[in-house]
Amino acid sequence: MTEESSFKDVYDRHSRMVYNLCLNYVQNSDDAQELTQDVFVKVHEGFEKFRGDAALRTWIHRIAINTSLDHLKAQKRQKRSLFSLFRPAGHQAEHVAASDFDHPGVLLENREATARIFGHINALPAQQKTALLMKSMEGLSQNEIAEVMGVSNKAVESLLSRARQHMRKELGRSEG
Amino acid sequence: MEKENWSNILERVQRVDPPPFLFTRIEARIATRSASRPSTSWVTATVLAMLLVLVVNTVLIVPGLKGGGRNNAGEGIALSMGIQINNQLYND
Repeated sequence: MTEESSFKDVYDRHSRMVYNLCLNYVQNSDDAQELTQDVFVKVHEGFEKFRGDAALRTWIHRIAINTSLDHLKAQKRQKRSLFSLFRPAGHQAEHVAASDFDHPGVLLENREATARIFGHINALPAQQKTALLMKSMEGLSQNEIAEVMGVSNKAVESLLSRARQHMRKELGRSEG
Repeated sequence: MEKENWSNILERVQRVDPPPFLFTRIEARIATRSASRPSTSWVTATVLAMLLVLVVNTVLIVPGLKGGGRNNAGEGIALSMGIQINNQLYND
């Protein structure tokens, strides 16, 4: 098997997962396409080292998560410098999510409610957000999340619990 | 929205396929990156050239430093031109 054909195999097997993962992080199809490209360029640079399929999947997961988080950090920095004169920093995450929300996996009738939920997810610290998205959207088990994030099972449990608590509190507040 | 309903709403988010042209774009990006990266032979040639310059400089400078101080050449020139090389104002 040539290098290019095996890279195509890797792309065929994992592109859906990567694209949806990026989409759930950035909630914008254009950004998710860019990030998917970034992820596979990185995968191409180093995929020769990986033989076992399980390790490859975990590795691609990690690349996708880190690439998405880096993108969000850069985006936040950019918008902060733009908006810092007009609004306090704490309100930015929700604002950004609501205005740029373009998730092709969300049905039109659920758009508003989903955008609001993602707004609160975006306000979570990076690790809590990752754990929650892996669990709720990717359907990964606690063990798999721990492996992908490189933390213990207990740590994942704690991250999920804090994330859910935050969501309950924030959604309760926005309801009341 | 009920307090616990948010996870149900997230579950309703469908998984979508990436656009069909994405792989072509990725291939193009990989090709551009590898074209803009300097080849190994060029990198080796540059490193060798810099090493050569360093060695030549070392070979030329080190013997001069070893052989009786750094003012030797200057002193020779000054003496040949009859110029004083100390702070004495008058010759004895």
